[in-house]
Amino acid sequence: MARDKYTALSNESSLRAWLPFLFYAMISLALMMVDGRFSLGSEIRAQSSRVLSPLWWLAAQPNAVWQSGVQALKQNSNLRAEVQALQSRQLKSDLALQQLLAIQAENTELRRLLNAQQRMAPQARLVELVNSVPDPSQKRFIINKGSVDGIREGQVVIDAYGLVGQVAEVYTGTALVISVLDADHAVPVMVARSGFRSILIGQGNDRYLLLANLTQSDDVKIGDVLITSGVGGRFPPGLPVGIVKLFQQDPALTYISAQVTPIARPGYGRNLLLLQPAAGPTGIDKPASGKEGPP
Amino acid sequence: MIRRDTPLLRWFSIALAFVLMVLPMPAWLQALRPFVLALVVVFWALETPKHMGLFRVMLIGLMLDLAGFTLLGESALRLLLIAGFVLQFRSQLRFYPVWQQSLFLMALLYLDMLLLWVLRAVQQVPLPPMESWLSPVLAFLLWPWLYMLLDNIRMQNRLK
Repeated sequence: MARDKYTALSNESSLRAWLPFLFYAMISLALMMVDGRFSLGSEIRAQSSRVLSPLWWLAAQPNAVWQSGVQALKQNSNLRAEVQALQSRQLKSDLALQQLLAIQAENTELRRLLNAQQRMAPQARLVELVNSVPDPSQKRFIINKGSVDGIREGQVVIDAYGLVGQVAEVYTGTALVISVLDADHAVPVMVARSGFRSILIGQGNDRYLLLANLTQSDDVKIGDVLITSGVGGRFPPGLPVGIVKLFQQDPALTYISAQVTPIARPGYGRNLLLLQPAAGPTGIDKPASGKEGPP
Repeated sequence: MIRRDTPLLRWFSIALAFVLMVLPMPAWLQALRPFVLALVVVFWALETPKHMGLFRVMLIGLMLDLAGFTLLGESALRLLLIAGFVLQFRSQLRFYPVWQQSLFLMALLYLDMLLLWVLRAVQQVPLPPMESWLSPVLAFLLWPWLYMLLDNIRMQNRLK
């Protein structure tokens, strides 16, 4: 009897010992629901960025030191080869630019004749990628400019190769950029060859994006380059986004989707270009990303 | 044997673990990142449970959610689960050999991975990549070193 009583007591007390855990777990779950509905987290993050920014900055330092160390240790011959490669690349892009200038002049003339709206050359500024969101299923990263530098939400981020993403949240000295690869991001695109338009959706991985709901008659081929179409006004038209890699049948067998390899190659410590919003009819549409804040 | 409390070491080690949790890494390494903050929290829950109660664990988790851009409460719940088990079995766990503690923690971290998958599936966001199932193994290898390091610093502090 006594023993039964003892075991019963110990069971009861061990259950009771879990009560604080259950209490705090409930609070956490409730917070998750609130955050999911009202994006409480981004609010607090924006308010407390004075505390968080130094943390992100500090975490970025080992990498920065490493990068500069690598730069300093680079062999002279390697540097010479790099300079040579860059020079030849510069020459090639200069040549392309000369042809482009002629085409641009022609285009401006034609647009003037057609009485169409003039396209503005976008203004850009240099920013640096300092850290990325540690959660590997989010494709977002932090840049080293914020609201004090005049960064605004929705600004488009590109690198030397193509579209990287857009500014999602702005803090005091830093800003959060959502990459086109993020599962919460979609960008209106156009096949450069055929002019076919669709929406390219991030999948939350680095390997590919998805061009969904294609039919047999849509003019998309493997190897096609996708550029931003400019629909919606958020992204300026003509920025390269990806290359069609392969087609896959949808589970429902009604549509085909295409896996698209991203073109942009952002990396730590590398420079990115932040486009200034064009003085045109922007802001009509909501941002291309489906949801606000973290998923 | 009375050990003096070492609040400075406690907060410094937690701050360092925070930095390690948001340290930029190449994409393929990111998924392997061990849950260092959980290990440090477990150390302090084992050594000074009075100063590492569940409320503080939750606060630390919420701060990690803010710093790591996860849904507010997600890391808090994960840390609570780990620390909850550790505090519950603290009296046994303290007298295990270190490698058995490691084993116990690895099992806990796999439970944590399971929780993370459920939470992600409910949120309908992409699940963590497959490589992340290896991160508890790294934590298993890391724990003895972390334990010895922190314990040694504490010991020195006591002798002074």
